[in-house]
Amino acid sequence: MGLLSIQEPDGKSSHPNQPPKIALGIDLGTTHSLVGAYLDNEVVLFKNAVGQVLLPSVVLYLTDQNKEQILVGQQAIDAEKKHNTQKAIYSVKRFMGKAIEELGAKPLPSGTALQADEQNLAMLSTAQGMKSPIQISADILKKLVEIAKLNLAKNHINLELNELVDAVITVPAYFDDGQRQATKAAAELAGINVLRLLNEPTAAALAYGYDKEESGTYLVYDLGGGTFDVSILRFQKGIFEVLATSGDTALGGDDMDACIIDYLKQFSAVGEPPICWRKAREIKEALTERSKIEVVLDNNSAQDKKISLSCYQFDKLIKHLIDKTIYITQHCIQDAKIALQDIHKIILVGGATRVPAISKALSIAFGLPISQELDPDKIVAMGATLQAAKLMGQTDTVLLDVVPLSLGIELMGGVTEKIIVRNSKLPISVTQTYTTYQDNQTGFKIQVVQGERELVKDNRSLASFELTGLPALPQGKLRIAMTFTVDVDGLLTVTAKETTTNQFHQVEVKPTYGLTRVDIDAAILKAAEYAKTDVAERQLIEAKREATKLITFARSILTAINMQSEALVNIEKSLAILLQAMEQQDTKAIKSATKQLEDLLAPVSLSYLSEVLSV
Amino acid sequence: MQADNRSNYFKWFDLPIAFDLNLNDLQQKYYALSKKMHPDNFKDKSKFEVQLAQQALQHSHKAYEVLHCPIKRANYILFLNNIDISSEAIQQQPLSPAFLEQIFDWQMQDMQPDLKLELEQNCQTRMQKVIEFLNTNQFELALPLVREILFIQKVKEQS
Repeated sequence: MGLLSIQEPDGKSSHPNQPPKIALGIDLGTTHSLVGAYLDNEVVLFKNAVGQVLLPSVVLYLTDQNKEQILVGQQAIDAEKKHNTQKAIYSVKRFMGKAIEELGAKPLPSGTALQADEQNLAMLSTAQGMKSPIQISADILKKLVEIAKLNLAKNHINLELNELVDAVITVPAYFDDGQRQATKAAAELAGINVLRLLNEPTAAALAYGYDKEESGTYLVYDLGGGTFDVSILRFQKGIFEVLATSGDTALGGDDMDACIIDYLKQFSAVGEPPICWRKAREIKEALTERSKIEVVLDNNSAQDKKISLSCYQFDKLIKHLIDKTIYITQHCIQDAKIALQDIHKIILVGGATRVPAISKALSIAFGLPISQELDPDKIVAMGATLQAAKLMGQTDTVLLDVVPLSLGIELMGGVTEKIIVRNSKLPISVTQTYTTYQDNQTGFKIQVVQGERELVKDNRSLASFELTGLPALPQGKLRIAMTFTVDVDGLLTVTAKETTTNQFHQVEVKPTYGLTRVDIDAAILKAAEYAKTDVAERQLIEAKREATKLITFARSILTAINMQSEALVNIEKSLAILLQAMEQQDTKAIKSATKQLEDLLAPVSLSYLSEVLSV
Repeated sequence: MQADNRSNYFKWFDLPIAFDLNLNDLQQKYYALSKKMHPDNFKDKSKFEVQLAQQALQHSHKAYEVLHCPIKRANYILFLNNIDISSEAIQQQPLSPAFLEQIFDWQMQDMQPDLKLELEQNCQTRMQKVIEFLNTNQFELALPLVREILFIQKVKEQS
């Protein structure tokens, strides 16, 4: 279909007219990660030095004679084999933004010990000390950026080694706010400016529907190494509309591997792991092509055992996993409020969908055509790359995505009140008013939760914060307006405002995980181009840039709208103040004058926008 | 909710304020507006404009959600005619005893497919009357029926 070409590391073609602005598409997967860019009107997925497009999401931290080394991808696997250790970290995505107890009895990567950090988030032990899943993911992302830069250089697009790069990064649709924040933090640590966090099934549908003119409704079934997503999307007139999404962020190919290990345990000496994870994965992959294989168990004894495992047996071992995905898919179709026959096709995404039992089960359950036109391992990266190109250039299609999980707060008695319900369109902002339950109550503790269950303890707690110093009033008199806003990246901001008296007590909370904002900013400052220029100078440039854009907007409003002379005079005055502040190179004054102008423009702007944009 | 000119959901999509509307037409207008107001189109603009566009897009989503759904649309037309169903004054008005008895009866039953059908039919017959009343500007008469439909829908959801 001409959509995909693989870039050889020694690419000979040159692109003298290539615009310098380039953005990457990144699929940060549980098992594999990929990176691509849109070059000469096609998606190019980059090969690494050993000629692979799929970079195994494996990291090995080594310390040799006080020399620290970080190996990523095939290098990590090879080194692990060579040293005969099991110290490499596989499937780190499963740990992103997760507290230790949330991981439960889920299989861990081999040879890694877990430990909780101050926020009770999981940390992994390595030869270079404890590492957070965010740091480990950042090391994978750094490798991807390095691969991209080498490939781009061969296309005569040279990016400085420490220059920030723009990228679209994919995440499972069912990732909660914590997991999304963690992914964004990892990207920032790796020197990436995140243009968009794109949901994986949406990316897949984008790649699929890209060069098709006809409109249609697709069901994307995405079973990766560690996560399962299902989304129903409608493509029509340049709009990609997600109708519903559902999933399980702890269900994937890894669980099939666990089934194999579990099964083989009975043939192995007590307490000995029968085979390692890598081996289990190889067995699963072999069974997608052969109907029966022989497994040799090394029992550290005189005779090795030979066990045969058939496709039929394997299907039985994983039946409960597949049944679970079918159940989730049925619910997603209900949520989308469409009939089964309205769905044109099922698109399979993720390496785990190569297991033949999945297509069979989907056919029996739904009887819909199943599309396998595009490589299930590459389709998400292709979609991410297309979206990155769109965000850099003119947009001719837009995505309307949804909130995957309901968001709410804790009420008295540990009950959750939903403020934003799942499958609401993004962006969304909802305000709800609450009151005090005691006389003279001057503080308010608010817990923000995400999930579908009734009780707070069953949902995921995203953030907990306290409003203090509120005016003392009788019970029920004080009003607190809570506003939940979810942006197009699916990231949440909560604002609380006291609205009874005009004391305007306002707080804003952005949940952060694993790393504090300060840590990330410090890392960016260190890593990126910011280091070259003085921070203060940088801030002045940014403030001026923002002010210039606002002035352009203000002038266009002034010419387009007839307004009362008083408002007009105030805006003119505010404009003059801002221009003066810019001339004086005063960052603080520019910022406050910008804010003042925004406040004056706010009442008239929306009518201007609706006029300009009216259908 | 504010009922001023700009945020009026019908006006937002340039539609006459009336119950009957062409859903396909509504969807096309919603798509066209969403496309124009998507924050992606404002990436070179000031943060202020991006925020405005986000607000506009949110308003579009909400307007579409309300107008797309018949009962929400009916409720909204009442609201535009100064009948706010969520207001305390209306919430405290009693429903008819016969209806309450019927609701109680439904709640006692297991949710079998035929009960589901019965509930749906009950909604539909009421909806037809609501439409008649709305089209003839008899809003006060539509109000109790709209409330009853919302109650029946709750029974349906709870099961």
